[in-house]
Amino acid sequence: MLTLKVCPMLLIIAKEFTTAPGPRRRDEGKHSGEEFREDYLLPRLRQAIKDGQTLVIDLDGTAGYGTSFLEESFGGLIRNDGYRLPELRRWIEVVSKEEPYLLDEINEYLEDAEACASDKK
Amino acid sequence: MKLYTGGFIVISFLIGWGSCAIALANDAVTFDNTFSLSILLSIASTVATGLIVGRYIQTSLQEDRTEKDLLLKHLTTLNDAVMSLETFTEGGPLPEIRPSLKRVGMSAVSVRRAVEIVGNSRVFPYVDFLESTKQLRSLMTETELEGEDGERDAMKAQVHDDRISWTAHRGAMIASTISEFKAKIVEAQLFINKM
Repeated sequence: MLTLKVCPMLLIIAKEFTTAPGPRRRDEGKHSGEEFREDYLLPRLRQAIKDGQTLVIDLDGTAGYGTSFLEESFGGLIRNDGYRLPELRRWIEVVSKEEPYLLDEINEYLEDAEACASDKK
Repeated sequence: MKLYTGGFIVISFLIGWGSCAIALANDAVTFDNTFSLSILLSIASTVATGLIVGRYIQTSLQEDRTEKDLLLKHLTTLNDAVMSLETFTEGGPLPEIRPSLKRVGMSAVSVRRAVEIVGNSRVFPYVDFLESTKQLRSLMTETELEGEDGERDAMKAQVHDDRISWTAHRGAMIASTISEFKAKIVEAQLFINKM
């Protein structure tokens, strides 16, 4: 029997989460950034770090991302889950052929969240 | 295309005929009624060179026009995408706003790529729409962090059941950003047309 083996180091949002990413928080609507981070991104990231491999996140194939979804998903890793920017840069690689400008945006969210985390310390 | 080629042949003939007539009138050229093989070869090679040069000029002019048309087509697509956002200046369903914003973003990227392929660096400053795209994305989809205080009340946006609503001030900002975006597209169209 043919079985499909999903690569644990590749997270394709359109295939594994949704083709219609939603708002920032769970209470705002379906497929939120909070849901994606907590239920999909974090478990994969922990696994990737444990296995010593980079987690590649593919943004393509969805109907489009809102700013808040991306901020909550990636900035939230620093703000809520205690990760720091250098280790996220070491373990996460975000790719997008359709909307390459999103990569710069995500980088800005990470830097802003890191700046806030540094200020709190 | 046929009209273009025909015009080119007529103009070439008139230029050749005119310069011959001037040369004859000024006694710069005298006719020797005897023909030799070298004269025939010389005439044939001159005609062939003229045709090759003419063809080259014609092709390069056509390519320039095609490139311009292609860029203008991309800009029209971008303009349509930006105009589709005007429906949402008072808020609306996020599942409709996000695809519209994605269309704007992808169109902006495709305009930029088309200009890179054409390789005309003078056009680059006119087709940099990514900053405006980012500004619109932020204005139309960004909501406050949980627990964030109301320092930015005038710009507040809220989401309920996948529907976003925002203050009148934010709506006005969105409307003016869309207008600026459209003005930039017109500017780019004018520049490309003048090239």
